[in-house]
Amino acid sequence: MIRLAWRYLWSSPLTTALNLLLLTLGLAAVTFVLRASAQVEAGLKRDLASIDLVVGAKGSPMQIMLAGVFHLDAPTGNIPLATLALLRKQPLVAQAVPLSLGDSFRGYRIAGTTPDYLELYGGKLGQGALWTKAMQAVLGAEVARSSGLKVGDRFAGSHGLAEGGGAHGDHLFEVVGVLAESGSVLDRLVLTDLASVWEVHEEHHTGEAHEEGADDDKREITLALVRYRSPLAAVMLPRWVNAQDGLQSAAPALETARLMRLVGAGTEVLRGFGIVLLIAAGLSVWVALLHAVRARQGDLAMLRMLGAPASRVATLIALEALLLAGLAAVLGLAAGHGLVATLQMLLAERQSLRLGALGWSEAEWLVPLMAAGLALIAAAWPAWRAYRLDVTTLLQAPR
Amino acid sequence: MLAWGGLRHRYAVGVEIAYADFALAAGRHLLLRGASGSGKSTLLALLAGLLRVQQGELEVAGTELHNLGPRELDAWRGATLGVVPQRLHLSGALTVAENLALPALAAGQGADRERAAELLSALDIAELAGRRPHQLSVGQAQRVALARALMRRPRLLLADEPSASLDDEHALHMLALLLTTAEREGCTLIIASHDSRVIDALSERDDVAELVLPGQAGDASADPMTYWSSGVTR
Repeated sequence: MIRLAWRYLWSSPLTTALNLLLLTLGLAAVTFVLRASAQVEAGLKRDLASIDLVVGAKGSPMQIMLAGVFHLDAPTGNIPLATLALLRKQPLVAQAVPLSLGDSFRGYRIAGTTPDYLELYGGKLGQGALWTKAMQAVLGAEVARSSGLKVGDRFAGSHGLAEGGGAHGDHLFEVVGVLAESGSVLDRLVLTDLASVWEVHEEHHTGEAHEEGADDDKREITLALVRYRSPLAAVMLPRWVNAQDGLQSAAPALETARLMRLVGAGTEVLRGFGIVLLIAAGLSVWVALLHAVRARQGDLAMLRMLGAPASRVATLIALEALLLAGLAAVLGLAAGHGLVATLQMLLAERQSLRLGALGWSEAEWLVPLMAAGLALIAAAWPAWRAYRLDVTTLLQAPR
Repeated sequence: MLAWGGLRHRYAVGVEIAYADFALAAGRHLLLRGASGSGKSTLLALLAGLLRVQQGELEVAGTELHNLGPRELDAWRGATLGVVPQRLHLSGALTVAENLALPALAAGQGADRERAAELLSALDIAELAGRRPHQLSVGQAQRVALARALMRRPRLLLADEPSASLDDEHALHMLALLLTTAEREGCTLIIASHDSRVIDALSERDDVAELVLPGQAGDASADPMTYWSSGVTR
C-alpha cells in the first residue's frame, strides 16, 4: 500500500516536487525558529551560570549584563575596587567575583579576575596551571585553538575590547595554562590576574610602572559578579546596590528575559512566515490531491473493482499526502538544522553569542506532527471523494 | 452458477429496472446482450456486487449477494470475480508486474509473484512484466488486463465489450483467448457485448447461453418496465 502510494505520488513528478519544496521551506522555517530560539536560550542560560547579580558603573542594566556575563557589549565604566569588599561584607552575598575588562587579544577579551571566576562556570584546566602572579594568563579553549598559543608562549594584548586597538607591546603575557573546552563563555576569554590589568593600564595611561602595594583605594575594577546567599537577596540587594553612589545592578535573569522578549518579535515574524508557507503548501497539496483523484478515477475505481473497500482507497490518498509530508518533514528538519548550524558558525566567526549545544529540541517534535496534521487536513476532502467514488462507471460504455 | 428472481433496481432519479427471472447452469458461459439503456450496466454492477440488491434475490457462484453488506460484497468480489472492463484501466504509474499485484493489494495481501509469472507466461506476455501500459499494444494491454482479472483465481470472469475497438482478426482472437483461458482456469465466463462478430462466433458454441435485455428503462412514475430476458436460448 505504501509502495503504491509512493508510486502514485511520483507519477506527477513536477507537481510533487513543487509541493515538496513548499512544504519543506515552511517546515524548515519553523524548525529554524524553534531550534534557534531553543539554542539561544540554552546558550544564554549556560553563560548565566550561577550569577545572580552583576554590579557595574551607573548605566544601562542590559549593557552591564551583556558586558559582564556574555562579554558582548562594552561595560558602562569602572567601579572602585572597594565596592568588592563592600559587597562581600553584605550578609546576603555568598560570593562576589571581580572582573576587570579593557583589553583584548585578537578579538578575545582579556579578563582580569580571581580563580573564583572559573568556579562560577565549573571551568577546568586542560593544560598547565592557573595564574599565580600578574602578567600570567590562562587561555580559553577557543582562544588557544584559534591563536595556536600554548603553555610557555608569550603574547601582547591590544587596548580596547575589539580588534585593532593599540598594542601593549611592552607588557607581554605569559601563557601558563589552557582551559578545557566547556561550551561556555570561558572558551573565548583570556583570564589573568586583576593585577595584570592594573599594571598594563597604569603604564598605558600614566606612563608610570605599577608598584607593588599601591593604594587599593585608587584601584578600580569593571564589574562584580555576585551570587546570593538566600532568595531574599533578590529583593533587597539590587535596591541597596542602586542606592550606592555610582553603582548600578543588573539581574541577568531579568535582563535575559527582557532580551528574549526583544528578540522574540523577530522570531515571531519568521514563525509567521513559516506558517504562511505551510498554509500555501497545504493548499497546494490539497489541489494536487483533488486533481490526482480526478485524474486517477479509473485506477481508483479499478482498485474497488478488484475488491478494495472504499476505506482502503481513501487511505491510499491519505497515505500519498502523509508520505509527502514525511519526506518534507525530514528535509525541513535537515534544512532547519543546517541553517542553525550555519548561524552558529557565523556567530562563532564574529565572536558573538554562542548557541548552546542541542541534540534534538523538544519543540522539534512539533515539526513532523505539524506536517502530518497538515497532510491529513489537505487529504481529507480528496480522500472523501475517493471514498465516494462511483465504481459502476467502469461498467458503463465510455462517453 | 448464476441465478436471480424478482430482481429489481431503482435509481434515485426515479428509473426502476426489473429483470425477468434467470438461471445459468454450472459449466456454461453467458453472453449478455442489450442495447444502450437496456439496464445491462446495472445488471453487470449487480452481478459484480458493486450495487446492493434492493429487491429480489441474486445468487452468484454459490453466494446470495442479496444477503451481503458493502464490505462483504467487496471481499466477495475480490475473491470470486475477475473483471476485464471495456476501458482496461491499467495503472499508468505502475509496470505490468505491479499492475498484477493490485488484486492482492486490494485485498490487503502481499503480491503473488509466482501466480503473476504463471499467468504472464500462459498468456505469452512474460517479457512485458517490466513495461508500463503506454508501452503496450492494444492486444498486449488486453492480455495484461486479463491476467490481472485472473490473479486471485476467480470463479467468474466478466468481460465487458472485449472486442470494442479491435479489428476482426483481433476481436476473434481476444474472444478465443477469453474462452480458452476461462476453460483452463475453470471459471465461468460472462461476456457483455453487442458486437455482431462476438455474437456470431458464440452462437456456434453449445456451452454458451445467451441472455438478451430488450427495450428501454421506464419512468417509475409510470409502471416500471420489465425486461424479459430471452432466457437460455440454447
